[in-house]
Amino acid sequence: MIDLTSEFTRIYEESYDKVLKYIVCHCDNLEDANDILQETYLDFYRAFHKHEIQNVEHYLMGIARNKVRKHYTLLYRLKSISLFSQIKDAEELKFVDMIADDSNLEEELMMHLDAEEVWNHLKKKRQVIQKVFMLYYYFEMTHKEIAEELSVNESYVKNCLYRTLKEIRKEMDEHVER
Amino acid sequence: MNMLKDEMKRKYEHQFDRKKNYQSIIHHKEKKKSFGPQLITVMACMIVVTALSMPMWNKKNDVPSAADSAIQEIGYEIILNINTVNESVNETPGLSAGVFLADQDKKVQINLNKLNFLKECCPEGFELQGQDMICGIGTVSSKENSTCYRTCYVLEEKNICVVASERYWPFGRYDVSENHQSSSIDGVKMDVFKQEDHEVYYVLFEMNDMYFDVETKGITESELVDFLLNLVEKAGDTK
Repeated sequence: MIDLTSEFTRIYEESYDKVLKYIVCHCDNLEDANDILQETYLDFYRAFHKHEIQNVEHYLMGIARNKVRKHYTLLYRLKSISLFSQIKDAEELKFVDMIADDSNLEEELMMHLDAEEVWNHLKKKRQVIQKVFMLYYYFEMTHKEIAEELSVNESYVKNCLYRTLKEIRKEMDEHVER
Repeated sequence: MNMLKDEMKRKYEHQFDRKKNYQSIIHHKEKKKSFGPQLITVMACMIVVTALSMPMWNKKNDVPSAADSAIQEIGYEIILNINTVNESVNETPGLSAGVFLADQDKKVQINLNKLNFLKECCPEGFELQGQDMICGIGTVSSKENSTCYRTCYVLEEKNICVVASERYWPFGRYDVSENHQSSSIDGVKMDVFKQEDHEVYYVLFEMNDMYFDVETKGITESELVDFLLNLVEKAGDTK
């Protein structure tokens, strides 16, 4: 007889990164990701104990999708709609430098950057930028993969990373000069 | 360079701690095993709602409070049936999926006097966040969207949003099941839904030739009833 709890643990370990990545990409705020993730696995655990699940991964992703959707009621989402958000993104894209695909951002900018400084600075940035950084550093995705996942331009992804790192570097240099 | 990447990765691992999340899931699962306390809690809530409503009836009808027959008394009639739902009320097949802010440049000739009473419905302690115009869900074929009027009240994490429309239900309508039960608040028929495992209520009703969609977050059942009673009363004053 299969020990359901051990089996659940195995599925949890194997699927964790994929489920987390989905939730991170689709949630409105990274602060909510842990809650949504726990609710997802909790629902899965209950279903797992009640009946046999054929395609575990598909089922889990379905729950995650529903949880993200339900977590933000329509009126909440409506409240956060900004008439100007699209315009702002478009304006930002104008400032994208022509960054070569094979350029190494770290070599150019992050020679002496401290992870703590980067982390603290990131917390103040918009959610989309935080997501880009997480997908880049935690999930080790390429610019192209991140762009596909977040449904944005690849140049926008590079812009997020490059400009943010540049800002941090500038802040650090200013701090040293004082 | 690799050190920074490794450090950043460690920070994310700490923020989304795999083991911590696992422990929370297992702990939460064990807490939810017993249904007995939940049932008792639901029954206790119903008793509280009934008890809280009694002074209002007495005030209106000038009669001493009675232990029984609190519900269905003439005056502040309250018949509350809460339907639990798994899905958000906002997903209705056949209607357009997105909503967007109404075009503020268009001049929409709508009689807003009907909705002025909403400004007086602000619950105690809450703040009237404002009234604005938004677009609700329309029909896919006509691509027309209904202009809605949104009024929001906020108190920290609690919020109440009232959206009214003249043409149609602002955000669609539930496919109600056979077990669906309607409620009645002071003579106004309402459909009350509660999202499973969340403190979110949806209330749909027609009143004064308009469709109302009320969504609340973080408020209790008794607070909801108080709000709805007040709303119906104030709306009645404007007829």
